[in-house]
Amino acid sequence: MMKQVIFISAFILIVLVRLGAQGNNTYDIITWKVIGERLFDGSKTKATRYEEDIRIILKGAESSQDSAVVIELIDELNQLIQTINVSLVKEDGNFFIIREPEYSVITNRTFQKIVGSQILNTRLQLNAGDFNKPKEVSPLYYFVFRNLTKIYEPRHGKSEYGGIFDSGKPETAKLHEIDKNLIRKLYSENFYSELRKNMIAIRGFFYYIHLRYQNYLVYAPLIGGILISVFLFFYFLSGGAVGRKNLSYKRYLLNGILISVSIALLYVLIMMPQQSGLLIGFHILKTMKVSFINSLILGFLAASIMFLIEKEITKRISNIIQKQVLIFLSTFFSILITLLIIMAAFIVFYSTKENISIHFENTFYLAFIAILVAGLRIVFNILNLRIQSMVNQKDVEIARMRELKNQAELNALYSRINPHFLYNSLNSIAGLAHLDPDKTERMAISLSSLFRYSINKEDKTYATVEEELEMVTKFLEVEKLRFDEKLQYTIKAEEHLLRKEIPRFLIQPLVENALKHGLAKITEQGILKIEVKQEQNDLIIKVYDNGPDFPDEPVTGYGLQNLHDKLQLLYGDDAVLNWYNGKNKFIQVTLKGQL
Amino acid sequence: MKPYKTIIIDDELPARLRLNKLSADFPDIIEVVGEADNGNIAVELIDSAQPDLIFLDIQMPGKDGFEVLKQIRYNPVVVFCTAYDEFALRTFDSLCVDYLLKPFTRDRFEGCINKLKKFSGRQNDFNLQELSGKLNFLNKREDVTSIPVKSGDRVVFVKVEDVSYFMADEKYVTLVTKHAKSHLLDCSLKKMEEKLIHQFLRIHKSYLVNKNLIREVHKHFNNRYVLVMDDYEQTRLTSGRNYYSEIKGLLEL
Repeated sequence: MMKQVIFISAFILIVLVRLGAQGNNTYDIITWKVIGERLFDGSKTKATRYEEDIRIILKGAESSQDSAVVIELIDELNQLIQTINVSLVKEDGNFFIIREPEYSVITNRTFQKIVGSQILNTRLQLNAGDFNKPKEVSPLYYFVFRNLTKIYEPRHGKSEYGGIFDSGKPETAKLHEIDKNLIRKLYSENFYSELRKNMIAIRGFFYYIHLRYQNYLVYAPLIGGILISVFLFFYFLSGGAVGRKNLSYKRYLLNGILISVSIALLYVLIMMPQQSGLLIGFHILKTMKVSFINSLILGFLAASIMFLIEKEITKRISNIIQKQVLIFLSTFFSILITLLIIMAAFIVFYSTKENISIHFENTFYLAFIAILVAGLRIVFNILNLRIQSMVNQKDVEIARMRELKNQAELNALYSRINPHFLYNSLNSIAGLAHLDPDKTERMAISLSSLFRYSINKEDKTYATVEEELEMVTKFLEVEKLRFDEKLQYTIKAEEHLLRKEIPRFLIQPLVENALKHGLAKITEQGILKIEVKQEQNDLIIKVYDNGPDFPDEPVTGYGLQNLHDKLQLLYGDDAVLNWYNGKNKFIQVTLKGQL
Repeated sequence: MKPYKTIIIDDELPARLRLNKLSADFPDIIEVVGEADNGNIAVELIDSAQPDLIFLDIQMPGKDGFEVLKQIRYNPVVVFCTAYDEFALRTFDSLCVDYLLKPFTRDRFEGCINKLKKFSGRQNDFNLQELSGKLNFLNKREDVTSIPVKSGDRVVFVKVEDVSYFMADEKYVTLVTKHAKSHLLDCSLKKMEEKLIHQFLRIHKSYLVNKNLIREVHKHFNNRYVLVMDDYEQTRLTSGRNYYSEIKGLLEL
């Protein structure tokens, strides 16, 4: 549906443009054609003309009649010329008409000083007799008109209207309406927009583009070729040609055809001489049609042969250098063999002497290209390998950095025994010293092993459930010194979980909290329960106490933030910390999916 | 000189044992007549036995040392025995004869005994206000650093410094972080205000904002201000009329 809309709109647009181009003057079409053929040669985008007022200086006039003729000419010009003014002056002129004396006969000399597409100065040397002729055949008019611009050889033949701009010699030229029309158009305010409109309408869009922008167009194939080369370069460098599965037949075909078609295209674009022909586009396509099919076949066959050979190579050889050498040879020979096959096919089907010799010639070029392709392939392979290894190196570095960072964060979070706990315990032990030396010894040793565990010389992040519970027991033994009968605790852990690894110092802070904020706040019997169990795939650690409920508000000194951060670091979202208030108040850490 | 009739008050047995043992070495100064292991018993015992001296622990479950002092009708001489840090305890110098910082050495205890020897007359009535103030100061010195928030099946901790503001509606309080994450809380805005008094400012019946994240304050009509927070959304909050002076106070800091 969209396509149809586009086509119809385009059609209407073209028709309108053509209609708009119809001038009132029937000579308009021819005038434009002449303008197109004569005023442009493709070297400049603009037509040459005066941009400043034309100040004519007449030299060598003998009678007033001579000047009268010139004045009449000037009047005529002023009627045609819109953009500037033409006048006769005595000094500071930029258009010199020099009337040679009667006795000298010169072939009329003209001289123009042009910069870019602007005429700065003109000098005409005319014979005396040129001033006397009637207007229609006056050499004066001939030369003045022609020197108001710069004229080139027509590319598509003369228009044959017999006017000033059409003939090379003043004798054969007649001042025609078309000549006047030409000057009128050239020196009008909207010359270029009218030029575009009419040129497209009369000669077509390509003609117009070629007319004005030919010097740029010449570069287009070259730029195209460069773009294609750049694209290929990056495509092969990025490793896109290799794909995920290194040796897939599809990849080989794709790359083979891509390369062969690109080579054909590049050849046509770059090797083609700067055609001045109008339809470069069509020319390319014509040449391409033949090369295109050739290159498709070439690419297909060569790629297939290469695939078969290289599959074997990869299987047997792992040494990189050997592999690359063999790939080089395989590429080269695959292309060569394919060429020979194609050539043989041609010989069989189109065997004429001419054809064969041409083909032999071509083969040399193509063999050269084969070496080039093979060589480039190796180069890209090696480049890709290097890039890959650099990327790998970076990856390793990044992984190492991340590990270091984690380790540092973990270290920052490392758990220490609470100093307050230390004060209190030592105080209690000191009090015991004289009363019960044995117990004192036991307590001191328990405290010391607690500290040894906390120091963690080996930098281990994890410990077994058994080890953790052992530490918690020692902790509670020491705390019992202070709490005495007021502390009653039980520790329950499922047998098969004892050897499971959990983060060090996971359970102790929970127990410490339960004592500090729970049991220490009540006056009646304190009960503490520690449970380690499995629920489905999760490892659950629960610490119950019968102290006051966990508060809803922000708190300090819980050390739970610390614990939470550590769990986040080690388990991410797989570790869940939660607490529940109520009759059986407890705090729980769930390690998901650990079992 | 008559020995001080002494009651030892501490919830921990080892601490009581130690004081007993040490006191036994100075029978001419200290005569232990009773022990209490919690605040309630302590109050009863003090009022009934009317000792000259009490060794008083501050941190006890239920009634703490301060509560005990508030409730007793009789005023003995007080020696605090506690585990607060030394620097803080120096503030008690003017209020008590001596304090013993756990764990204390025998020599230190002896020093206390010497002071008691020199001390004559009765303890002045406590300036309870001052005492309470100092205790509060000691208690609240730790700044709150994180807020536990229940989120689904777990508890997450939000750092106080990351909170941009609290917003209250009829039932709940919403916490909004500076990264535009919001959490529902069960706690009342008033309680939050109390706990976070140093870092947060109440600007409206429904808003409590982080002082450190206030970016701009614009005057609004009717005694209101518009505060722009330095958070992800550059939230604009309008203060309540009644909180005009609080904000003005903030600006003058």
